[in-house]
Amino acid sequence: MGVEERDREKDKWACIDYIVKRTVKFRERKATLLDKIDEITLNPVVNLAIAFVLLYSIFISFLRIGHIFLTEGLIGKYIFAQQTFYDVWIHRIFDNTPLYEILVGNTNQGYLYSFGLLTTGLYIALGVVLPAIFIFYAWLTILEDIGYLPRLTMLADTVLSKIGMSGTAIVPTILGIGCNVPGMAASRIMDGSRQRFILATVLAIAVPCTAQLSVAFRVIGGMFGLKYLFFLFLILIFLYGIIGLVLDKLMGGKSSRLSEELIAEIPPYRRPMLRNTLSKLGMRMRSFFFGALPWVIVGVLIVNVLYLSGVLDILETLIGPFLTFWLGIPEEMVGALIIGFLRKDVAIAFFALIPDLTAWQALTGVVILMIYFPCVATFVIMLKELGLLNMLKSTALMLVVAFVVGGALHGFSLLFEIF
Amino acid sequence: MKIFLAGNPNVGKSVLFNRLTSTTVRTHAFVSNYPGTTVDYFVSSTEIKGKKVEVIDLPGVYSLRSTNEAEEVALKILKDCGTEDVVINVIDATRMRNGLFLTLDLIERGYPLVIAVNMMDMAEKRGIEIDLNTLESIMQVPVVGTVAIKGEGIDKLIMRIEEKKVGNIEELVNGCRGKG
Repeated sequence: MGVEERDREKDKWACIDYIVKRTVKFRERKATLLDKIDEITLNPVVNLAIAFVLLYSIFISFLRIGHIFLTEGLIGKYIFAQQTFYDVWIHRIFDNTPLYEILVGNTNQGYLYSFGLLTTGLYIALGVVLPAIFIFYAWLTILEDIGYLPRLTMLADTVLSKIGMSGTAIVPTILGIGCNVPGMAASRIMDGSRQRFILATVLAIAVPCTAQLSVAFRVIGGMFGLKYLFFLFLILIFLYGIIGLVLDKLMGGKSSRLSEELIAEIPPYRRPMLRNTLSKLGMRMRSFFFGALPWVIVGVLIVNVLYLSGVLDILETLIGPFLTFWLGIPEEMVGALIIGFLRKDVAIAFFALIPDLTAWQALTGVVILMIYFPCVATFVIMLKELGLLNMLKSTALMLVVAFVVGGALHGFSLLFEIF
Repeated sequence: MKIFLAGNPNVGKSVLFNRLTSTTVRTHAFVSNYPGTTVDYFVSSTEIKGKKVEVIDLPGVYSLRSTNEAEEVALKILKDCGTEDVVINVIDATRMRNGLFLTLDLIERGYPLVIAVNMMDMAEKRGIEIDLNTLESIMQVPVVGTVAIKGEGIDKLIMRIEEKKVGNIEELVNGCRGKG
């Protein structure tokens, strides 16, 4: 900003102060309930406590309502399972047809591992991902309409400004946990291309979407216990910080804190208008349903074609030996990692089929899968948002980080003999 | 005619947009809140007093300095604003100081303006009194108080759209100088 511009801005603020003085009066009055809540929650310690309680509630509702009730209890039991009306129907139509392998696959292994378009494809898209996205967006929309997000932004600013972003980045990050696509799209709210690049990169590397999480829940949590899930989160949070820090230093750190003016006037809490909240939730769901979900199914299709045509086998033999040496993972996992280029959730699901897989190997595999490449849909948005050059830079970084972290986890296991 | 809704994030622009268009929103993306979730914006066609109008909900911004993409997008969309059109500047009554910076930017760029001071009920509850008449005489553009969420003041706002005015930034800034 030039001197002239700065003077101009000073003039404007002086003018605003004059106008406010003439037109706005503060009167003594009793504090309302919302005010009291407001005042209490502006305290950083309380604010932090609330943030944790909220995160925990979101996590629990994912698990209880999304996963256990909707996915396993309802959709995975009455539609996408053996001997249901749907199962009988697709078998009657497609059994012994040429499309059987691609559309149905092997339903004896359960719908998560059948790898057919109409079985695994639809089950993951509608049964696993959609309920999780619904829960997530419901939380987000409510918190947004109550006026909680600005407070979270303010809270996040102190931490995020240390890794080259303003607190604003917390909203795209949270969106990214739902689905990386809207998170990535929201990255344009960041000030300047530098902050945007940092955010997009940490999003792609360290923020797993609900699709990945829900399958990680099933595979890692289900097979080896919650302990490993927490460990997974710790690694991802650590990566989020360290990559931001490094990028900030590399790209010439300059203060990214929110301006005082914005922090000074945080909007009050308010009662949301039900119709507005519902219509927003509806729009989000619709936009995910038509914008991102088709890519999930296209992903399954591509994987199926590559698998059936033998291309995956060739890739596996080519890169396999290096990957097993460097990452200490079993050979069977290499194929899953390659599939992960297209479909992370399918790849994670593949892990469950590998015999004698140790918890540490599964963890290493899941971490690498989450880091090294976003899903096809995210990739498309990233290209659109960052441009080709920055997208390639970001991708190169992802591969490097994946190999470093994977190698480190392997080294860690050799050193401390954890398997 | 086009109606552009401009304001900070979180001032109830999307609610006002819903009120003005009142039919279902035809769109490809969603509107949102604080340092927003996306800079996509809503456009909707509707009829106001028998006239066809297009209502455009700009992304929430704090200024028009194009320091971020939302501001760039807002500026780009506002390029279509002709003398026939109007910009409704939505200000949160509880955060006047923040909102007015954008108002000055809008006046500086010479858009035909109407100011809607929204969330008057929230201000009332918090003991904030706003003198809308004085504000109007200082800004030299129509000012209307609204409670978009309850639909209050919307009719008045629609009535006064025709009175839109291009303000004079030099007069305004000079007028304030030395009086602060």
